[in-house]
Amino acid sequence: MSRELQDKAKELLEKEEVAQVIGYGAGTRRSRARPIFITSPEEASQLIWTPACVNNLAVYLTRKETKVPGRVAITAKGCDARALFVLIQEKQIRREDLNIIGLACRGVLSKKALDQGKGDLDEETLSAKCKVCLVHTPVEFDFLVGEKIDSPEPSSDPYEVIADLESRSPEERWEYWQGELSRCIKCYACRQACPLCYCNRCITEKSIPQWIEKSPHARGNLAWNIIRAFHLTGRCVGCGECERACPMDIPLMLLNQKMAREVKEQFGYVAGMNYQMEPALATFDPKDHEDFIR
Amino acid sequence: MPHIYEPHLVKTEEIIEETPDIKTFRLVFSEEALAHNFSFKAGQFCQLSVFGEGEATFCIASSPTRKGYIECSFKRVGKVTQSLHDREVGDTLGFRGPYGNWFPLEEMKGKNLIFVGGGIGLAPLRSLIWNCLDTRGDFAEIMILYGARSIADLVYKAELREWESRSDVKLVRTVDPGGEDETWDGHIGFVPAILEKISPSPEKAILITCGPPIMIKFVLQATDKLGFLPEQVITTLEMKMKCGLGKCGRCNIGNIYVCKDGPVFTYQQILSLPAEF
Amino acid sequence: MKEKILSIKNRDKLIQGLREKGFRVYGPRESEGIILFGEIQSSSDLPPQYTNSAHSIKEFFLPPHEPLLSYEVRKEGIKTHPLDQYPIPSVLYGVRPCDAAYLPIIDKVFAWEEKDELYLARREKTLVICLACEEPDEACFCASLGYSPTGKEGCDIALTPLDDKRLFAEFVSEKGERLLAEFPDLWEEIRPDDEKRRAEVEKEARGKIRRQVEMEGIKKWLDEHFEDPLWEEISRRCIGCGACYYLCPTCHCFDIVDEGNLWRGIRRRIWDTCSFGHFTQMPAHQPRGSQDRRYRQRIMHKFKYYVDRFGPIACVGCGRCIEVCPVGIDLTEILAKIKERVTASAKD
Repeated sequence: MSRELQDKAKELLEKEEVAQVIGYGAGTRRSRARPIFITSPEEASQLIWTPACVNNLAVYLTRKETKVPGRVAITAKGCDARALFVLIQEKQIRREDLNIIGLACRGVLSKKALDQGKGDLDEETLSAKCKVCLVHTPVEFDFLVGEKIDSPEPSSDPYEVIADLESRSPEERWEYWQGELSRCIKCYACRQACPLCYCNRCITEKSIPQWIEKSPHARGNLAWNIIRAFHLTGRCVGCGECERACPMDIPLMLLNQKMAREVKEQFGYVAGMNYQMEPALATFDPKDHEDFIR
Repeated sequence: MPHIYEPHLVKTEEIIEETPDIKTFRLVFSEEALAHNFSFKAGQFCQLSVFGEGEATFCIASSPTRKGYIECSFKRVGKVTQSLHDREVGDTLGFRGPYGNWFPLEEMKGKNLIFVGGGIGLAPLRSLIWNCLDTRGDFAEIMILYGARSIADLVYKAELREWESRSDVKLVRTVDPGGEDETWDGHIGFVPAILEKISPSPEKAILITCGPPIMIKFVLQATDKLGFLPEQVITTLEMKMKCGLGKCGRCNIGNIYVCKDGPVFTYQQILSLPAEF
Repeated sequence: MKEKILSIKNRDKLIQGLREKGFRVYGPRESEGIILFGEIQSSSDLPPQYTNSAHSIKEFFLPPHEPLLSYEVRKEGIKTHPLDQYPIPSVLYGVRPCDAAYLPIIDKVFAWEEKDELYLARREKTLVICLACEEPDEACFCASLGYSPTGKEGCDIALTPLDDKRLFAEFVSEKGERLLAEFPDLWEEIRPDDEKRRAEVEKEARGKIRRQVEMEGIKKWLDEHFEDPLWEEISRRCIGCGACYYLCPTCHCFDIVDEGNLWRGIRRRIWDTCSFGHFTQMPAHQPRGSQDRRYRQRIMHKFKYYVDRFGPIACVGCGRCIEVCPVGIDLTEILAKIKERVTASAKD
């Protein structure tokens, strides 16, 4: 499969259909992969597609250091492609500027598995997000590496873990989050890894007034993590990069998935499945749940 | 036991509105002992704080020869300066300092001094100017070239008039093209251009400059053209700072810490700094 | 340097004894597969096996957030109250030599001219008992920087396991030696073969380090290549988070913030990093406006600026930056790339 990918990338660059290919290359640690940026056909042989290709490369499309003039090809798993579609919806990139090299995906390795140096995909090593994936094949692509895979019924309820938390009392939940968030050090790896956190000036960087305290104490951590979950509501595509990037192992996806469920239940909307749709929280529909605005 | 991050308290004794966005505060230490004995050298800076908003770096704009108070001038550009602008006479601020190095007064003695300032950049120069004027006999000729975007943006207007009226100082004023009005009797042109026009002699001279980064850049180039050696040209640089004492790392640029090795630098030293500046 | 043997049984008694004397004892603790330093009640709280803690011991000397003073506006003006800074005497047990080695390096900046008593008081009141590393991790490269899995830099007492019952104890500092006097019965005399065995343990551990960096010539290259296409190349995938900086023991930059309102609040010191644009953002000027310049600052500060000013390289080879980077940036790879250029230009 890596071969199919390399050939396609080489072709795109040779024909000058794209100025750059963003994909995965081998990392320096056992079984790892990492983002690479290819601008010449000879470099295409560096591209790989393995269960270690965990990064969501869409994050590089809004960073000025990795933008190049012209069209860009980007390898995208189903979850990555969802992020691409939200970016298109939000007018951060144009569909015609992208060549989406879709990756038919059976899942990627979990952070734990990678830390343990494991390279083979199985029930144990599969990332939690993959167990509830709806997009084994990206919803839209210009080229597909591998055979189309139908998304099977998720083997577990995506909101199972949240249901467990919800069954606890507010005091228990508060304690749980105080505990988890106490480890936050405000490194903003979650924000930087997220393809949809692309604000030139994040709310934490606004100082008049300082809306979100910068200190990594309980109050500051709560403020930051909650505001991020809110700002991603209706936009988060569940790629899990925030949780994977977090050096303190905070289960950030719980917050994002909870908000995603709320949006689904209230607006029947799931982010990143159809970029022709208007974003749920940026649109008013007379049939909306809230009736205070009519 | 006080630690190095603990500020002294100062009271605002007087507030002068220099321009629509620049104010000068005259500050007096709340602690008796400091009020009388506080000493510093021209060129040094301090960290002023508005409790609840934060700290920011300001050069001490008054002369060390004048005891009993210090003065700082600042432009409203951000959180702390905005808050400072909202302060009233009698308000208490925090003060940490003096930090940094200072203008090399000893080496300047007996020489012709040429001060070149732009906008709020006159503030650090003012400390040195008054220091020199208060010990006038130590120096040969003194010229002050000062300009701003427009007449309204000139700072220390009263002192400009005072310097103008003195016979032992030559004052040259300029505003950027478009910044004049029909009453303006000074030059019209950017400061580096006027400097070249006046073409002061580098013979036994020291040129001290401060202003917006772009102005400094062109002034330094102008000194090259006029035949000044880099050792004869001194400037004071701005860099984002926090602790002011070499710990927090914020002002580290190239091999230097602006709070420790600066803010006063010779052109010679700047040439050896990476282009990061 | 005094050398004794500490049996595992006596090690347990030592921990108890230190607690009884009022020391807070911290050691590596495992929770859901992650090792972090936490308070331990006895040595049974220690994990049977571990490579290193996920986070360095930096937070014990420079906490992620620390109150500097509180302020309160009263009728007579503002009253500032320096907050009580006297740290409780603590013992850090089981610190790996690479982590302890960071202390003498960073002491220099906190003792530079104005003494940062907040950091220095913690240093004085904390006893660091190192435990040698027998199974270096994949990302470790302490040896390339002149350190060792059984090293002693920054330790007050350095322990090397000779086998599963006996630890070879070296008393590196006066602070460490005090424990000889305070717990006279816990230390045994060394046996004739112990030093040899200790050397064997070191050799074995060194042999297991997989990463090797040739440092010769790198400093000179950095002196001469402030501008170089390499910076953009190595930092392209960097997403600009603070993970490697915050987990790095030698990274020490901080911010000072006021939290509260105009009447009452606390001024704090908090971790900050040159990775963020705001670090150098000024109204009129931004010297490091792109990630490649900011990444260059990281490398330059650690391998050149700190060396020029204070002497040692501000890196101990603990490998956390490599482990934690979400996009696979590898410091040893970067140093190797620089070395390649050094070698190439030497040939010219």
